[in-house]
Parts: sequence; structure tokens; C-alpha cells
Amino acid sequence: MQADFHYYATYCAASLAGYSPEESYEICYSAQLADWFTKTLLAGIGGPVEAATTQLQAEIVESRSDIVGRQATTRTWASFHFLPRDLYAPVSKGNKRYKDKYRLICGPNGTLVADTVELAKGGTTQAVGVAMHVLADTWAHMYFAGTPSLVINNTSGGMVEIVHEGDKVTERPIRFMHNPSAPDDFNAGVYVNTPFHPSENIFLNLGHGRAGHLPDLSFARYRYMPAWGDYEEVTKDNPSDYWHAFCQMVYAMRYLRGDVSAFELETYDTQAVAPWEREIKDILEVRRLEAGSCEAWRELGTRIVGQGLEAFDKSTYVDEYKGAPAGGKGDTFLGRYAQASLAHKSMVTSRIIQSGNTLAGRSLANNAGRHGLGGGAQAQEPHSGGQDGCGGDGHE
Amino acid sequence: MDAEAMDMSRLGRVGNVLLGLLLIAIAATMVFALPTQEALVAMCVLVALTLALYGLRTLWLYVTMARHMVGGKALLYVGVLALDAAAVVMVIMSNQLLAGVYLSITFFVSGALRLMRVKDAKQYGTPWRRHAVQAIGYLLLGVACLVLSQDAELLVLVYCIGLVYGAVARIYNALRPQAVAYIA
Repeated sequence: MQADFHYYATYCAASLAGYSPEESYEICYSAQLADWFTKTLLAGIGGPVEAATTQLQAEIVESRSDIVGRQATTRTWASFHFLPRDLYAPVSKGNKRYKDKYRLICGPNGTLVADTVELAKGGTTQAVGVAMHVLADTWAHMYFAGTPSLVINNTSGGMVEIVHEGDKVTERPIRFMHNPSAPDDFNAGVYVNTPFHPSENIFLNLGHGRAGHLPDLSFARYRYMPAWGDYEEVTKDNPSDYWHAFCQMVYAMRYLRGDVSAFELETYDTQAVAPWEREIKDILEVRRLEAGSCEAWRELGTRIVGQGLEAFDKSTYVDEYKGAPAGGKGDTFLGRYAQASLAHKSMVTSRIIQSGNTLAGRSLANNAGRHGLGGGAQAQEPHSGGQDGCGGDGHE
Repeated sequence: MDAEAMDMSRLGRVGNVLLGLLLIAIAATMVFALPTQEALVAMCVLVALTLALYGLRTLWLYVTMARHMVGGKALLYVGVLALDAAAVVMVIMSNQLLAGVYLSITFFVSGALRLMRVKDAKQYGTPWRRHAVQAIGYLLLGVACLVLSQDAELLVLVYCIGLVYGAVARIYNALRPQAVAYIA
């Protein structure tokens, strides 16, 4: 997903869940920050690079291409952007390596989503924001895995876009090009994607690169054959998926606030959203660039929350962090964010290794002090349930 | 192997630069140090080795993983074809004329693939001149191999020019900053 949903839509959802405008801002800022919290940013502010929630293109290209580098890449992407749906999914084909990759396929309403929300319970607004980013991406990025894999993340030629124009529904083949600087042409059905490369572990085969930006466009509906799908097509209906993501976020945040006693999967708070349903669905359906969608969500957010929302700026809290004393970094916004990120990454990585899957390697110990964060706010420990301990690979 | 679609990590860049330099050294050895017939044999062995390694790598990917992938059979065919091509090279290497024809075919195929990329790039308004230059280079080398197949020394020279050309392209791609369409 892009800023229109992670930032502006989350702002709306947080308010509908009952958070104050200030809390809603912190939550949506934290949700959007997950797409910017890189090792480069962290190194620049003297923060713990292990807390990175994403990677710059340059970081990915420059990362080690051996198993250690791939594990580090998988830890980050599978934790924050491609949360696995079922780590124990039955797979009747392939060797162990294939099965491990298959089991990292992202999707909504998996047990890891419930674990993600539970981890944020009683935590900071930063932790809530991280959880909402992860939850939302399970809807957008379903069918792809956060690990480099040709045999999982490739898409066959012949993707078809389903275009709704009023009552008329047409289908047209999607054409892909590989120029990263060219914009997508929605009207002509031409989109940018990563080129095909017959190498299993190359970074080009990470995530949904082969489908381009389509998973992140709220208006897109399309059909294709995923590489893992045994020649069966899947249909992606982003307006519907994004609507479910929004309603599930509201429900999750009501649980985190204590309004709801338990977080259950496949549950969506459509009631709280009902007064705004038509407007939200209209925003999701309009075919437009991200800037236009952001503006529409921003305007709706002003009406829902009662307060406007300034544009996202990844450097908003940098000075606060840099100016904090050595023992007080953990009390800053970014310090709390780093703790939330570390806790979440540790939890997901632990779950993956517990399932016998080594693709994400092992997690560093979730210890705020170890990462020089200090301060009063401590990240919650993951529900480890008998894990073999955090081996500390030091390879973040 | 497409010199562009390669490992661009720091280690990968260093590896590709070293490989490029090695190929240049091999080409220089073949032209200046080896007798013509030995250079011809070395040329055929190099071509066969490259094809065989590529074929084996592709087949390994197919057997271990890609046979479960939609469209994975294409990798099986490519791998088998590459191994066949390697075997053919070893069989015909004693025949200079056939070696020249075979070599020209490989250059023509490389040139044709580059031309397809030129077509795609022009269609979508992306930079195409580099691909066009490479396509022309490979096609000219293919023609040269056909024309010069009677002369073993010139045939080896043409092959080595192609080797150096590919090595320089590899080194250039390893060292230049590249924007890649990466979306996740």
C-alpha cells in the first residue's frame, strides 16, 4: 500500500476506532513510517539499524546475496510488508526449500495477524501504527512472499485488468514495461514492473515486483496466474480488499483501545464505518495517481477527525531523537517506534523459525537496552512459547 | 548470460569486474600466445563450457524448484537446449567451418535478442540506444564469423573481439549506477 492508505486512511480509521486526533496522528504517522524507516535513516540519526522496517532500493541492491543477506532481507519484508498467512500451510509438492518459501506467502486473517495485534495491546501508539501497517499490507500484498523467490513471486505473462466504468465491465491485457522512471499509464493499461530474471534468489524476485504497483493501487482489479498456483488464476479486487482492510483496522484498534474484548480474525467493524461507507468506497474506486488519492483521503480525514492532517515528513521526529541524551532515546517518538519495530520483527522471526522455516534466520534479542534505546518505555516481549532463544546473528 | 541482469551487490560487482578482466586476459592469451589450432580448440571449449554451465544451472533450478512454478517447463527446455548446444560445439570443434557457422549463429541469436529489447524499449519510450549498439555489435560479429570461417586465425580473432566486447560490457554494467524497477 501507499501513503494514501497507510497514512491518511489509517488516520481516519484510528479516529473511527475512538482515538483522539493526537493519537490518530501518531498512529497514522507510525503506520506510514514503516515505509521509510530504513537502515540509512537509522544510521543517520545514530539509531539501531536492526530496527529498520524497510529497505531502500540501494540497500537491497547492495545487500549480500548469500544466505545471510537473504535472511536479513526476508526478516524485514516478511515482518512488515508481507506477513505470512500460514506458516504451517499444507504443501504437497516441492522440497523443503520450496515449502518454506510457499509458507511465507502473505495473506490476510492468518494467525500472525492476530499475534501482531496482540503484541500491540497495551503498547504505544507507535506499536499500534506498526501493527496497522502490517495488517493493511496483508490485504494489498496477498499472494506474494517477502523473500526473493522466482518460483513464488513470478507472474505468468497475460495479466488482465478488469475495469469498471459505471455499469460496464471490460477486461484488457496489462502491458508491462521496465523503466523505473516512467509513470504507470492507467488509461492505456501500461504499468511498470521488474523484468523477468531466471534466478531464484535475485532481489528482482522479491515481493510483488513482477506485478508492479498494481497491488498498491486501491482501484485496481486484475486477474493473473501466480507462479505457485498450479495454473489456476487468482482475481485481485483491491477496492474490496482495501475496504476490508479499513474495517479490520477499525476493529483492531477498537480492541487495542479496550472497546472490544478480543480480536478475532475475519471480523470487520462495518458498523463504526457505516456513516462513511459510500465516501470511502468512492475514494477506493477512482482511478488516479497516489497524490489525488491522498488528497481525497486527507479531505475525508479532516471531516472525520475534525482536524486536518499535514503531509507526511519522515524527518519530523529526527531532531527530537538526535537531541535526546544517550539514556533517554527510548522516550522519544522514534525511540518508541524502534522498540515497537524490534518487538514486532522479533516476534515474526521467532514464529517463522519455530515453524521450522529458516528463511528469515534468527532474530536478535528484543532488548531495548541492547540497542541503546534505554528510557522508560520498554517494548513488549513476543509470545515466544518455548522458542530456543534468540541466537543473535548480528546480521541485520 | 545477460550482462545487465546480474548480481549488483558489492561482492557481485567486484566479482563481475574480476570475471570481465579474466575474460579479457583469456582473449589476449588466445590471440597472442596460443597457436591458431589450439586457440580454435580453446574457443570451442570456452563456448561449450559457458553453454554447459548455463544449462546445468538452469536445469538445477528446474529440478529443485521451478518444476512447481507456472511456466517452469520453459526453464527445462532452455536448460536442455543449452546442454545440447554445448555438446554440439564439442563435436564440431574439429571442423573449422562448422565452428564458424555455429559461432555466427550464437552471435546472431544474441543480436536478435538485443533487437527485441530495442523494440520493447522504443515502444515504451525507455532508453534503447545502448541495446541497439549491442545488437549491431553482435550482428556484425555474426557476419564476420560467417565470412571469415575459412580463416581459423581470423575466426579466433573475431571470437576474442566478442569476448572482450562482452567483458567490457560486463565491467561497465558492474561499475555504473543503475536504476532498477524494483517494487515491493
